[in-house]
Formats: sequence, C-alpha cells, structure tokens
Amino acid sequence: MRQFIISLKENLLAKKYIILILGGLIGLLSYYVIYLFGSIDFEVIQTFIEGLPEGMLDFFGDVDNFTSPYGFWSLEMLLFIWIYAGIYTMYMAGGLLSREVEEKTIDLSLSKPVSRNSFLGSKITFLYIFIVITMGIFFLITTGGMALSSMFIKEGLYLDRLWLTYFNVVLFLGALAMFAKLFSTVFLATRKSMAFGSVVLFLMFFIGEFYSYMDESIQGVKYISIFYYFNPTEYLVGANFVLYIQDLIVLGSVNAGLVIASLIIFNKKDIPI
Amino acid sequence: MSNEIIIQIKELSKYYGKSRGIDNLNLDIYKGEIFGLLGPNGAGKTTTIRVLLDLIRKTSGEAKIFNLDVHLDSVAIRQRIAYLPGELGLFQEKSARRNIYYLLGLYQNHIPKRRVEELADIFGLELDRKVKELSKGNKQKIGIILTLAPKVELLILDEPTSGLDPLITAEFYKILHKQQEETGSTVLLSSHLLGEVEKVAHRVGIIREGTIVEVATIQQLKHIAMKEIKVEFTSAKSLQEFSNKLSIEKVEEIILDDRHASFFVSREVLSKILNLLSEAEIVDTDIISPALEDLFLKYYQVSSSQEKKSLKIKEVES
Repeated sequence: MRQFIISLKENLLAKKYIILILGGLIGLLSYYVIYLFGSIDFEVIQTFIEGLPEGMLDFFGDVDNFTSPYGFWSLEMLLFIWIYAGIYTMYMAGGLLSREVEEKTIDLSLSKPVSRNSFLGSKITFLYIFIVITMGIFFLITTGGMALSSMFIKEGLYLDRLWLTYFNVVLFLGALAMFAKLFSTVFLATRKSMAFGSVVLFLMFFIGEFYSYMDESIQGVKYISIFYYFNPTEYLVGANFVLYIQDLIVLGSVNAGLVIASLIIFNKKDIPI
Repeated sequence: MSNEIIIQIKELSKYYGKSRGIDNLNLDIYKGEIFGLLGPNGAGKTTTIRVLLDLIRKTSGEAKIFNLDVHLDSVAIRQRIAYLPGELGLFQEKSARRNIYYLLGLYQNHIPKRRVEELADIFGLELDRKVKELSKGNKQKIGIILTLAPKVELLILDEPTSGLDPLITAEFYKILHKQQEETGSTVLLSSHLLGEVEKVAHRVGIIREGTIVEVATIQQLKHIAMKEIKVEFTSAKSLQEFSNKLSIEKVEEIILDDRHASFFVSREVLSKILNLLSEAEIVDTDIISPALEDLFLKYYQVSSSQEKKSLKIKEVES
C-alpha cells in the first residue's frame, strides 16, 4: 500500500498543473457558454430547429435539447467533452505506462518491492483522480456560472441533475482512458497505443452517433460503442433517471472490465529490454 | 563466503518466440560472495538477471533467490535486493535527489537520507540538478547510489561502471568491496570487462550462447588455462629435433619458425615439456601465464576452433 501511495503521489505531483489548467480551462469555457445565454433568443432557435429535416433532428435529439439552457449547455459542453478532455486523457493514459517502458524507468521501479498490480493500479487510480478533479473543477465553475445566471435561475437550478451527470461524465472519460490504458499494456509502446486508442475512439464515436443512419440489420452494433451509453442531455433536460442508471451501470462495467483486463495482461507481459 | 545458496538457477530457459535468450542455464551463487557473470553482448547475462528480477518470465526451469521463487515471491525478494540495470532509465525532468528518494521510497524501510548524501559527496554528484542536465557518468552515479544506499542482502549489478571514469570506477569498487565485507551481502556482477571482474569477483561464471560454460574462481580459471611457452633454439636442427618429440595432442597452436618455437601446453604436461626442453639445445625460454582475457576468448573461440582444428604449424624453412 505504501508503494502504491508513493507511486500515485509521484504521478499526481508530476501532473498537478495540468490538472488545474485543464479543469480550469474547460470550466471557464463552460462559464463563457453560460454567460452567452443572456444574449441568445431560444424562441428563434426553436423556430429554426422545428424547420430542420426529421433526420437531422434525430441526430441532435429532442427540440428541448436546443431550446432550453440546460440542453444547449449540455450540447455545447458535455457532448464534446471527449474532445475537450477525452483526447488528452487518452493520450496521457496511453503513455503513462508505455513511456516508462520506452524510457526504461520501469526497470528501476519494478526492481523495487512493488507488485505489478500495485504499479499499474497506482497509474490507473491516478487517471481516475485526474478525471475526477478536472471534471470536478469544470462542474464547480459551471455550478457557479449557473447559480449566477438569471436564465438558469428562471429555468430552475437543477444542481442535483447536474452533479449526477458529473458521475456519468467521469465514467465516460474513464472508459476512454481505460481503452488507451489497455492498448498501452498490450503493446507497451506509446505510438501503437495512441494509434489503436484513436482508431477505437473515432470508431466508437461514429457508431454511437451515426448508428441510426445505418441499415437496420446492423444497428445492433451501437451497443459496442460507449458513446451510446453517454446521454447527458437526457439526464439533464429529460430527467431520465432510468436511462441514467442503465448508462451508469454499463459504463461502470466497461471501466471495471478494462481495468481488470489491463491488470491481467500487464501481469503476464515481459518488460522488454 | 558461506555454503548458503542465495541464487539457485536450475535448467532455466527463456525463449523470445523462437530466438534464444538463455538455454538450460544452471548456476548457484553463495551467500557473501561477489560473483562475476562474464560474457559478450547477447550471451544471455541481462536475460538471466531480468528473469531473476521477474521483469521477464522464464520459459522453463527454476530460479530461486533466498530460496523463494523469483516469480511467485518477487515482491518479498525485491525488498531484499538492489539492482543496477545496464541501461539506466531515470526520470529526466526530476532532480537526482527526487529520483533517488522516490525509488528508495519504494522499499518498506525508511529512506537512508544520510547515506545518500554521503555517497553523493564521495562520487561528487549534485543531487539538486535535473537528471536531463547530467552527463552519462553522473546519471550512472545515481544508479550506483540507488544500489549502495539501501541495506540489502543481494546486489545485482549489470555493467555497473558503464560511463564512469577510471577514478570513480575504482572508488565504486572500493566502496562495494568495503560494504560487502561489512554487511556480508552477496553481489552478482554482470560485465564484459574482464579486468574489473578479475579484481573484485570471488568466482566467475562464463556465459556463452545462453548457457554457463564454466564456473570457477579466478585462480581456478587461470589454472585451467594453458600456459604459453616461447623457446629460442641454438639452431634450426635443434628445433627440428625438439618438434619431432612434441606430442601434438597435448600441445596447441604450435608455431615453428627458423630457430624459434611457441606453443600452448596444459599444466598437466608442463613438466614433461620442461624435461624435453632440458635435453634440447636452447638459448632462451619464456613461460607465460595467461591473462583471464585470453582464457575468456578461448571459451568464445572454442566452437570455431573445434571446426577448423586450427593448429598452425609452419614448416621449418631450411
């Protein structure tokens, strides 16, 4: 446990500024989006949206997604969180282990009394802490922004829904990071991990967002995409808690599965010279 | 040195797919000894060490340290050992001090800060400089401090003096020797620098193509080695008479030229050869004891020499 904590602390210290900067930047972007709501006429947007072809509406979801402040914010911030935070988190997760192998620092670390589970576990825990804190900063700033926004006050402050969504966002980003981590343990090479991680990310995005345009016979493929289990607007605007729980369970299971697979694979791997 | 076995390797093999890392390797290393593992690059030294540290997994065989399985009990074993890798990987963005404290912090014991400072003073290492700003030799000093600072029972050193200047190398071996004598720790030292190993090791194992081909003390190895004899005869005729009496089976690499002869003999036949020489008409004789290096080279040339049966005999030119 002592080794686990030392290793975890070392990772956190190395990335402390990145955590604050990334969380702060996304938070400030969110604050800016909320601030913009004051100058947006949602009735004009509603008229425009209702005139869109049905297929396009299917892609974006319900009209409420655009015409309520929560829906609009979710669309702007949460649906693209994989770009704002996901890609960097995957990049970090992919390199966190393989870079140690490439730079040979792993030889010294693993020659000390540290089990492989503890070594990799500390890195996985760090990734979750990274996501929890960066998203925590982002949601805290957002909460402040919403509490100060007359439009959100008028709509009603649904901070409970917002913070429930936070857990789903953490698990969604966690799953993305764990995909990268899994590839990192398989290849123990940063470039390969990144390449495979990126392919899987865009493939899942494509499947999760565009499955409704596919032939009905192959639409079942949507279940393999984690994007299909990430519906923040449904929780925030529609207060669909059944879907929330379902998504939470699936994303949680995906995270757990990927963590276990990474640990098993890493335990079997030779550390290359 | 006691009879207690610290490292026990039995029929250990490691294959990377079809290519050989080590093959059917057997080795016992005893408590309190400095054991030199000698061999050129690719012989299997690093593979052996990495299997012992559980960085790579064996294909077959058995490897134990402190009578514990190197894979199943790896964490317990590593609590009692220090390792200096051949290619030292350090955290470049951190200072030497943070690298050392972080890595020593992974042991259960407290970090021996005073000992770290003391060793840094001896080796002239600036602890607060970032690793990326340090020369190769200074980086190697960090590795040496990481190895010598903790109180452990076994030190595994893979090419430990790589990049160090001769003075620091000498200082390192001096401290290693002193520490080893004081604590009774065991040292496994892998190197291709025979001179270094010869100075510090109690016993030496020569590894070739993934297998240990010889384990002996330095004295034993030198004893095993053949001696070179150089003789100057009074005339070509005397040389011819002497060469006719030489038994080719017991003498190697004979070179006969005009009035001079040189050849290698084993210790067993040395007295017979000296008797022959006493009867011959000679001007001068040299008996040269082999350097460990010559012996080492012999182990590596053995396969080719077996094929060629390369006894170089030059006929006496009349």
